[in-house]
This record gives sequence, structure tokens and C-alpha cells, in this order.
Amino acid sequence: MSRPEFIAPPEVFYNNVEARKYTFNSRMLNIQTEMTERALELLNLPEDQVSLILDVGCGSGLSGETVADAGHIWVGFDISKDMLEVAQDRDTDGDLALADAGQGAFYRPGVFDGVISISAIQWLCNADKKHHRPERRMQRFFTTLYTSLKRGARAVLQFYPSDATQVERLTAAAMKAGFTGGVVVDYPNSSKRKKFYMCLFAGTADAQVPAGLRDDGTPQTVDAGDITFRRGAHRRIRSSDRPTKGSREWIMAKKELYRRRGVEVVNDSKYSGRRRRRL
Amino acid sequence: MRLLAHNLMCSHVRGVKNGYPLGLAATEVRFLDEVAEKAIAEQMAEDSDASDGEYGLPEYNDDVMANIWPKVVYSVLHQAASALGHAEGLPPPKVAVSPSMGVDAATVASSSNPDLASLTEQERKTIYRILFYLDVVEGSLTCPESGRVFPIVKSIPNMLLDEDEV
Repeated sequence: MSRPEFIAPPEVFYNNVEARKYTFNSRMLNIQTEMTERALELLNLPEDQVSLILDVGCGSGLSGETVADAGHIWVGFDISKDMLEVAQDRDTDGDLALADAGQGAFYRPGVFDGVISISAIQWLCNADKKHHRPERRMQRFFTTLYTSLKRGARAVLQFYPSDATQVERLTAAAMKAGFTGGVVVDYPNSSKRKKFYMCLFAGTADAQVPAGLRDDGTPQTVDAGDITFRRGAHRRIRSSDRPTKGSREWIMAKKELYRRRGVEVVNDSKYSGRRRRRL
Repeated sequence: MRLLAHNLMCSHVRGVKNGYPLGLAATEVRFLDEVAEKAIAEQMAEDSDASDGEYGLPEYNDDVMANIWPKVVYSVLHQAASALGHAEGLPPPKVAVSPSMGVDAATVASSSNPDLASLTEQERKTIYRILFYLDVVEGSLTCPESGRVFPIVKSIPNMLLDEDEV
């Protein structure tokens, strides 16, 4: 399948014709509904409560419709004017705005109980205009998203990465902004059904990333959170905290490292790292 | 754009520290419940079998109101409604926001909202209607700090920034 992000910028690609095609195609509708339902499931909102949801890249309001059906109130923004006009013609329940996710969200801090986004954030990896810096745009998006979320709330962003580096770039930007969480991959063995959901937590240190769905329909419990990251997990050790080269601790750390790599290493003893007696 | 959205939005122009609340001006407003009622009436006139359930907007609901109330800053809502000339029936806010003066955090916190239980049902319904059904069709939003104007066209605010404002 061709990728719209390779053809033109979103506001150009989703013109009047394309926006209508997208919205009234029953196949698209089914996929969108299915993905939104899954995203809502991953959001894990408190039951019997009306939540306020932000829909990033709401488009013609297909995803919003599912959110409204679940009894929640949503607001959304999108960069394609034509998509928003289709949304208005369809009388969506949510409030719409014309905005670019790469310029950041524009809401008061801590108002949203959850954020969803369906097939939108892969566009952030592109530089569609001369002045676009994808890394900066991603960072701006995730930091402003973080502030507009209630502490402990989640953001579930479904996206279509064109390659593994896009997943990495987006997760790195999210992590930098303070999110914890990971990427949930549903049906990883099917090329058509495979879906990526970035499941982000705002302000919770060690939340468990939900497991992705497998081809037989059951969630796999082993490999939970197919690509997980924790804030600060890879923080560099300050040089002052590192053992001095040649010291016993340094040797022990090296031996441990090589043992983990499966290299044969001599056993530790009380003589390890000691100087030879002078003859 | 409905007043609920206005209540949530703030300016995201570069360098702006306090972009809340956005100044609201309108040349055309409408009540969505009136629009829906009219559509139903037309439909009924055309086809007498049509039921109005399909077209009606959700009724006032205490649960929805209770859940959404802590997210709303009432003083800002009151000010926005007065700017549009639809503040009648709304209870006065505890602290008033004046558009000319700088706004401090206490004024725009939802903690200064009047207690829902202390309001009469009529007042709650009026607030609900203003929040969810008062729609700005044509108008503008103004950033309180930088003065940047975001136009609202056909009910959609244009929040796109220029290259140098990001």
C-alpha cells in the first residue's frame, strides 16, 4: 500500500476529495472504529465516569464518534481543513480546531483524562516544509501533550511507522518529554492487521505496559509491552560514579559484563584484581 | 467553537507564559440545541413518521455536569458568555476576570468555581447549555499576552502558527 506521508503534506493530501473518500469508505470506517476501540481499551479510563478526551488528528471525526459512543466528551484538532469540514457536515459531537500537532497542543495544564490519536503522529517524522525540524516538532508535541494531561492519565497514539527508526525517534521524544510507557504491537505476524499503539503514561513511574494482541486473539503475557522504555533507564553514569580503571570493582564489572555476553571468564577469588607479589 | 473548548484552550505562541484565557469576540453565534430543534421540525414536516430521538442533542445530565465541572473555570466561562451577550441566567462568579488586567493563577483556577450543589437546577441547566450549545460561528480568539489573533471561521478556530511563532 502506498503511504500518504510520502505523497504530500497532510493538509495537502487530505483535500476535499480525499477527505470524503476516507470518511465514506466502509473499509476505512471499520478499521478506524476497531483501532479507536482498541485505543480506548488501552486508555483504561475509570468506568461509569464521563471523561474528557483529546483526539490528536481527529480528521473527519470517525474516531471521535467511537469516543462519543463510549459516553465521553472529546475535543480534537487536525491540520486538514477539508477533513474538518467533512467532520462538521457529519455533525460530530466534539469540538474541532485547525492546528498542527508539531506546533504543540494548546490546552490548559492537566485538563484531559486521556489522549487518543489514530494514524496521525507518523506525519511528525516528516519535514514537509522548509523550516520543519522533525525532532523539534516531535518534542514540542510531546511536551505540550504531557502538560495538558492529568497526572496519571494515559495517551494512546496509534501510528503507522514506515520503519523501525521512526518508532525509535518517536519513543525517544516521548521519553524526553517525561512520559513512561512503551509501544504495544497488535498482531505482529500479520502484515495487514499489525498495528502499533504508543501507550504513554503521564506522571506514573512504573506502570505496566499492556500486552499486544496475537493472531489467535489472545493477548500474550510474556513479551508484554513489546518495546518498553522507562524514564532514565539509560541515563549515563556520571564519570565520578564510575569505578577507576584498573581497580578491583572495575575488573569485577568487566568480568560480569563478559560473563553476560557468554565469554568464558576465570572464576572470582580473593586474589582477583590484586597485584602480584613482588619477587 | 463551543464555550467548553474556549474554556480549555490557551495560547501557544512562542514565548507566551500565560496565554489564558483567550479573549473571545464574535460576529455570529448560535445555539446548537435550537439548530437541532429546527432540523427536527423540518424533518417532521417532511416525514411525519420520523422520530425526534435520532436528531436530538443529549439532554442535561447531572453526571456529565459533575464530571466536567472541575475542568471548567467558571469565572472565564462567565466572562466569555458576557462577551457574547448571553450571560443572563448565569450565577455570578466568585472572582471576576477583567480582560484588561493581568490574570493570576487563583482567578483562573477551577477551585474558585461555585459549588455545584449550591446552584439551583435551573442555574446548572443554564451553565450546561452555555458550555455545550453556545457555538461561535464567526469571530476571533486573542492571545492575552502577545495579542495574536486566531480567527474562527465556520465554527473552527484556526490555531496554526507562523514559522516564527513556534
